[in-house]
Amino acid sequence: MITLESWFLFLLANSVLLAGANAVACALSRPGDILSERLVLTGLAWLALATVLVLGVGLAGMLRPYPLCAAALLAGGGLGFGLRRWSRPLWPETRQGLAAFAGCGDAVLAVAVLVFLFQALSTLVRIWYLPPLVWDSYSYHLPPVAQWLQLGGIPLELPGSVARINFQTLGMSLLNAWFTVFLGNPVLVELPQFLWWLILIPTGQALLVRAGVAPARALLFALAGAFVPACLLQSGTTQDHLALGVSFLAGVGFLDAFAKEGNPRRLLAAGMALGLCLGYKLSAPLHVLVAAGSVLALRPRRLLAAWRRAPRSAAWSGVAAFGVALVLGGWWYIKNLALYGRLQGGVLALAGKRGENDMAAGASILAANLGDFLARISDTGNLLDADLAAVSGFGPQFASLGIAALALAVPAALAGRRRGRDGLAVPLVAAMGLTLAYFSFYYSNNQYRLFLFLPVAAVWALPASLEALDFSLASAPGRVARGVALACIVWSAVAVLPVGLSMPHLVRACVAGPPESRVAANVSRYMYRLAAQRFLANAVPGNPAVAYAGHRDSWTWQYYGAGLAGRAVAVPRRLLRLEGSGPDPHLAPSPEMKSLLRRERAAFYVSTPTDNRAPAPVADPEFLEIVPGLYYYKGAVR
Amino acid sequence: MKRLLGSLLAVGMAVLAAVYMAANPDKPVWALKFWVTYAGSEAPDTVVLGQGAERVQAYLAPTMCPGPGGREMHFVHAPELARSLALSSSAQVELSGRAVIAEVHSDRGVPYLILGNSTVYVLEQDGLGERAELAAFWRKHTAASERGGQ
Repeated sequence: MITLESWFLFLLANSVLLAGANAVACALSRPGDILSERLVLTGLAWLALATVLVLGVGLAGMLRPYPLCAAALLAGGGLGFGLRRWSRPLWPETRQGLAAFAGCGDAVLAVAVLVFLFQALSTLVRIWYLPPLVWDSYSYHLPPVAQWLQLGGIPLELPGSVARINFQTLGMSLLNAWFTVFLGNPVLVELPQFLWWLILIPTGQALLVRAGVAPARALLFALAGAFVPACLLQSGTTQDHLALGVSFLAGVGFLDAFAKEGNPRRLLAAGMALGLCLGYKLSAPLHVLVAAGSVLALRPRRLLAAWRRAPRSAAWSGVAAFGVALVLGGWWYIKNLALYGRLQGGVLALAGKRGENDMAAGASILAANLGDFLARISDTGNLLDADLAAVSGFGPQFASLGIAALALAVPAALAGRRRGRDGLAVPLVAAMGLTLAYFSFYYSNNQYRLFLFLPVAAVWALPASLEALDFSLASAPGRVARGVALACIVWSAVAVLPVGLSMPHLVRACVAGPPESRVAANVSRYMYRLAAQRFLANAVPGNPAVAYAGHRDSWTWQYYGAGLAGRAVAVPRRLLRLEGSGPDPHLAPSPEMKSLLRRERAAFYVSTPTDNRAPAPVADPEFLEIVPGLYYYKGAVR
Repeated sequence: MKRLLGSLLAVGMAVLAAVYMAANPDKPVWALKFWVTYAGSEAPDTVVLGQGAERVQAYLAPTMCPGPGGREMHFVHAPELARSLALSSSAQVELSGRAVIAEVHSDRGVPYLILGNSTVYVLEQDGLGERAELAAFWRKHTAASERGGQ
């Protein structure tokens, strides 16, 4: 039950923060800029402010609704007041934009916008009614959120068996916490990636309009890019791939705009986008390097000219942009350096195939990736869900518009150079460069969700390339591209209609049940065999402490319950003594394990380590089996 | 020349989109099936066979969070059945050859049945060894949660 007071705090904090973000957007843009650019900046500033506030207030140990709301009032109000000389109302620009849309009489665009509205609404409904369904959420994206909220702060290290939580970048978890802390309930925990999806659309339109594409046409292709199935599937999750991709593309766009215009405020905007990007993955510095490298490689003369025009201003803006990026995403690296002596903290198994992860394996990983590419982009290996196992989720957009854009990239850049239009060359080269960079060291069954920036950039590049090649809207490729774009939007919206990673026949029961029953254990496909999780979710009253067999990927989110009041206690592997051999070993609880359970008053012990692996049976008279994998320890509560 | 290239480009895009969609007929079909066949219909009833089946069948109330029909674990909300079993002389009822009933108490004070194991838990009935201990635990746990949780 979410109280009115909680809703009031939630709405107040977000409204004030949005007002502050709008002031930042006005300060970083000019009155003549198109509306979509201002919307992108407002969205980025909103998420940036929320990120900094949760981190700052959390590190200060005051991560509770009232202190956080007070911090939001101070930050939003302070920015609104401090930047008031640049502020301008949003409505006139919005009205102008809506009038231009209504006046263009474009039926194809109108249908695309209707599909967008349906998609946005259906994603919001899913976020509200269904729990997170991707297993990464259960092991390392969301448990920190529950732990932070319970502790009322963000400590340097969190207890638990999933070690990566303590050295990974948790920028998305900060946003998940922002949308959870006021309500005291994770019902909107998946909202941040949905907001990133919304930001993706004006990002595309702004880039295309800057590349000389008419606004209405730009909006259609911006939508086609946002409807790449991988983006749609990620938009309702607590993952970070969509945020990573959108912030990367926005950062590249602002860097490119700086090179073209020499406006130092573009650098600050790029710093904001790439700073957020840094906070989402340990590999994000690669994104920043590729973004900067692409602009340096393709715009050296313009960068030099911008520098010569105002060297002092450009230098200060560069330093300020670096500072902004560091504040937004640098904390995790600084903490890793301080705690573990290296920026990346621990070692992540990024390069997956057969455990190869060294430089010597680079060539074979690249070969494997290139060999798989066509099969992956055909998407024929599996159904589409947010995990994107064995498929890319790049959709028909990339297979048709994207491939065409890649084929046209070089001719468009050459032909358009005379007219000052190069077919969105910088974002496209940056996306291709980043994909190839990942291809050289990273191979996994699910990797293509990380590369979703590639189809988006390619789809966006098509109208810009057509523009550079002087193909008008009425030309054959112009008309066909619009038709294909609409067909792809509709096809993608239909293809992601199923609730991926769910147990289909339980969706209705889950939605129709009381709010507290809308938990992963009742609807997640991953939990269909986990009797222990379902028993705990449905039949155990209160918020008991649950001990679990500690594993590097243990799922613990479900133990916190719908109100995030439960407690998860990791039993370290060294205390799990397995006896017997062959296919059926059993666990003999050690005295230390029993002592831990007594100390934590954990009456329940779950012997299923992570996912749908078979639980290890416990052979001890003090442990009573309730359902397979779940034991009641008599010694814990006496 | 430009017109020819434009036509080739247009045909190429349309063909590629069509080929992709033709290669992936399962996606839109699954979308339809998902909502019409599965999520759009009632969850399947539990399949109950064997000794005691008629009695169990008769008491199965609308499911709270059922598992895949007859194969996986089911949670069924059936307080009447629990009472009936507690009164019966036989403590063991086999369901589906391997399913089990367990009566526990939820925070709303309503017993639930849990199917999917190989024995019957009748928690309120004495003389069942471990089951009686479990019953004691549930009473204690329920009382603790009513006082505000452990």
